[in-house]
Parts: sequence; C-alpha cells; structure tokens
Amino acid sequence: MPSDTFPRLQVTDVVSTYEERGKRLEALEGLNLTVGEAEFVALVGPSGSGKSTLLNIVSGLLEPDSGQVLLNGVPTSASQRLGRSAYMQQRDLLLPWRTTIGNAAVGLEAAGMTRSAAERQAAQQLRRFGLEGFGDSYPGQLSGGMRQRTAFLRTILPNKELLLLDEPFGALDALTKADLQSWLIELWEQERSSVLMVTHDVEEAVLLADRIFVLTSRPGRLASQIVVSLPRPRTRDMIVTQEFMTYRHALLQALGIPGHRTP
Amino acid sequence: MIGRDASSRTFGCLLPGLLIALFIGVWELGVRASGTPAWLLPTPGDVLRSLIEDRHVLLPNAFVTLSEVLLGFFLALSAGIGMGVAIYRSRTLDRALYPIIIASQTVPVPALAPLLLIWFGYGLLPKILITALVGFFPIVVNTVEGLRATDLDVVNVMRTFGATPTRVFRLVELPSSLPSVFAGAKISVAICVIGAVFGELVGAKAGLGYLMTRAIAQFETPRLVAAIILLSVMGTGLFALIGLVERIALPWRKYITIDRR
Repeated sequence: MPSDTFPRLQVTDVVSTYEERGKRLEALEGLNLTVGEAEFVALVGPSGSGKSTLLNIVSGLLEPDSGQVLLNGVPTSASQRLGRSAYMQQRDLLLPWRTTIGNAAVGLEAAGMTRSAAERQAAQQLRRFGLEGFGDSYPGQLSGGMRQRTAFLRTILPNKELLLLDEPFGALDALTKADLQSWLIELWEQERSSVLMVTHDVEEAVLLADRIFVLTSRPGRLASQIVVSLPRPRTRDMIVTQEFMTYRHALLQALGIPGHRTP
Repeated sequence: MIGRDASSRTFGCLLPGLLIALFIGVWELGVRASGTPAWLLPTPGDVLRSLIEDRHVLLPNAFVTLSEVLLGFFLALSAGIGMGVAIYRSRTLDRALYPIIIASQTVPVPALAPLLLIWFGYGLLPKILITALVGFFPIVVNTVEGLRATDLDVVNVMRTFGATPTRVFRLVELPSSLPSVFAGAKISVAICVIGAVFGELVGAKAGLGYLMTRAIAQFETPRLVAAIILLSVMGTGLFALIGLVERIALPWRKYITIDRR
C-alpha cells in the first residue's frame, strides 16, 4: 500500500507566479511540505504569502510553474488532482437555491451520485454537524455558524483522502468561532483524516494542528516548522496551559510579531 | 414585523387603486363638462358600456390575441433560453452570434411585419413569429448575462469535488441563472402583447388589433378604448402570472436579503 510508506501529500520545490499589471510576480518560491496519513497540518503566514495559491495548486485548480505535487507518493498533474481532495474556503459558497440537505449533498452529486442517494447520506449526518431540524432551511435562513457547518458537512461527506481548509473560521465572530473550533477538534479526533489548513489565527493553529508550517511573506517560502506535541484528544481548556503558551510564543516568534522576538 | 408587512402590502394596492379612481373620475367629469363627443373621447362610462355590450365581439378576439401572445412567448422562451445557453457555452457562438442578435434589435419590427405577412399570409403564423421576434431578445440577453454572473468560486469548488463541465452546468450555472431568466421573461411577455397587436394591425382577420383598426375606421372609439383596456389587463395578468410561477419555482429568493453576513 503506497499510503503506508508515502505521505498523503508531498509538495516539492513548487514555484508559482502570477501576472499583475504586466509584471511577473512570484507567489510561491520553491515550497516544500508534507502532510502525513491522519495528520493535521496548519499553514500560517502573513497575507500574500501564497497560502491560498498553495491550496489552489494542491486541489488541482492551478498548475504550478515548476515543482511537483505527489499524492500518496505518485506525481500528479492538476487535472489528475481534481476530485481527490475536499476543498473548503473561507466563504461558505453554499447554493442559495438548495436547502441544508441539498447543499450538503452537492459534493457527492458533483462526483456523480444521484441526488436522492446523496441527500439520504447527508440527512444521516445532520445531527453530528449540529444541523438537526435545519435540513429543509435555505442558507438565507441560517446563521453564519450554521452555514459554515453546512459547508463542512458538504466538504467531509464525499470522504476524500485529503481535506484542504482555507481559513474556514475566518468570517465568523469570536464566539461562533470558538464553538466551531471545539466541534472540529472533536470531529477530527473521530475521523483522523489528513488535513492541510490555512489560518491567520495563532491559537487556532496550535490548538488544532500536529505540525505548523510558517511561511514568509511574498514570495512564500518555508520559514520554519513547529511540531505541536500537545496530547490528544485536545480540548479548548488547553489554551491556558503553560505548554500551550510556549507553543503560542514560539509561533508568534517565528512569524516575527513585535514583542515576541528571540531574547 | 408581520403586522407592518401586511399593512404595507394593503397600502401598496390601495395607492395605485386610488390614483386610477381619481384619474377615471376626472376623465368622466372633464369629458361630460366639456361636451366632447364620444367618437373623439369617450367617457369611462361609455367604455364600460362597450366592454359589457360588445363582449361577444371583444372576448373571442381577445382570445385570438391571447393565443398569439402565448404561442409567440413560448417560442421566444424556448429559442431564447436555448440560444442563451449555446452562446454561453460556446466561445465561437458567443463571438459569431451574440453581436448579430444584439444588432438585430436595431431592425424595427414594424418593417418586418409586412414582409412576414407576404410570406405567411393573414393567419396566425406571422403574428406568432412577430411576437416571438419581439419577445426573444430580453430572454437571450438575460439568459446569457445570468449564466455569466455565476459565482466562479462556487464553480471551482464543484470542480474540486470532481464535477465535469456538464455537471457544473446542471448543478450551479443553470440554477443560478434562473432569477435573471425570469426577469427576462417578465419583460418579454409584456412586449409580446405589443408584438401580437402590431402583427394584427398590419393585416389580420381576427384579434384585438384587428378589432381596433375596424373600430377606428367606424368611429367606434369606446370599443377601441375597451380593446386597449383588455390588452393592458392581458399584459398585466401575464406579467403577474410569471411572477407567481417565479415565486413558486424559486422559493429561496425571499430569504436572500435576510442574512448576507
């Protein structure tokens, strides 16, 4: 089994450029990273460090200018990567004409399942995603937190080998965010899928991830790597522990935030 | 608040009603006071009498016009949506056909009507074709623009789920274009009524347009105004009917303004 010996995702020497006002600019400059089997990896970096570009490349929406993306050890082209991972963005991107169940089912339908079969699967998961009783509501009737839970259900339901999360809590208020983070920790402890999550939130990265990659600002390059060995299962209470504080400090230092310089 | 909503809706109907009542009142009194003869400008009372007394002439002819409008509209609707989808999905058609369709709008339909009459005679067909030609344009344009307004991020998410272009079209692009298609259909149905009457004015054996030309020739002005009123009722009714179909077909639209973060 290749997945036993190779990491789920391996990104090697990826370079990505884009054009702006006639000038070629680099978004990523020779990036390397891996996501192992059942590993939760966070990607932290300043705006413009090419984090979203990387997720676009890994999901198959974008072909890098050079470098390779390997899934389970096998080099892939962008079109081969489409349909392999589940990609969730900061905006929930729900279809306003579909109910919660219909929206949750659409990922399965996109992959070819019939609507009725897909909706049956989605309906079974409503309770686990805190959406019980809202299956027939339209996105316009739901709160921001509920909408994001629906987007999560849509992302997780097709059971892909890799989850790509691009600031999934970025647009939520602090309370809803804390609530959803706890819920995601619990869900992940059960599922143990391979996750690559982009975030701006230092606490979120330490709380959720096994490993944190820190990127430099444009062009994005790997600045440092922090292995978070907080015990699992994790809970929100850990935020106040000395160990958590140490990781948090280390991450802020790596990001070069003023007041957190190396002594 | 529900209370405010209901009362504002009642008020919304009341206001135009009052305005029309006032207009009719001033019209009736003005014509009577000035002693204007009915063939020059009939009073609302004359028109109402014509609507009732001439109903055996008016209604069958209104039915002819209605069937022209409906057939022409459905022709415009199916051809318009079909061509809109084709233009959206094919770059070649977009380049080749879309400019021609837009340019075709500068051709006045009045100029085409006699030509269609020569080709297809005095029957129903030339009227249906004129109606369809007039009603076609807003549907094509709104279908194309509606499809183009699809959220590209949503399309990309579907692609990462492994959706083929056909599935992206069925799951995202087509449904997201529907509000715009409905808006086009509403504009279309209103001008389809004008198109059908125009076709009849040029040459016909039946229909409200035909009745109007006859009424003008015979100085039966109350009947002419009665026919105009029937036409406006028809146009308003069809417009409202499409609005009703839209509310039933797109029930989610009433929630769209509530939560947009």
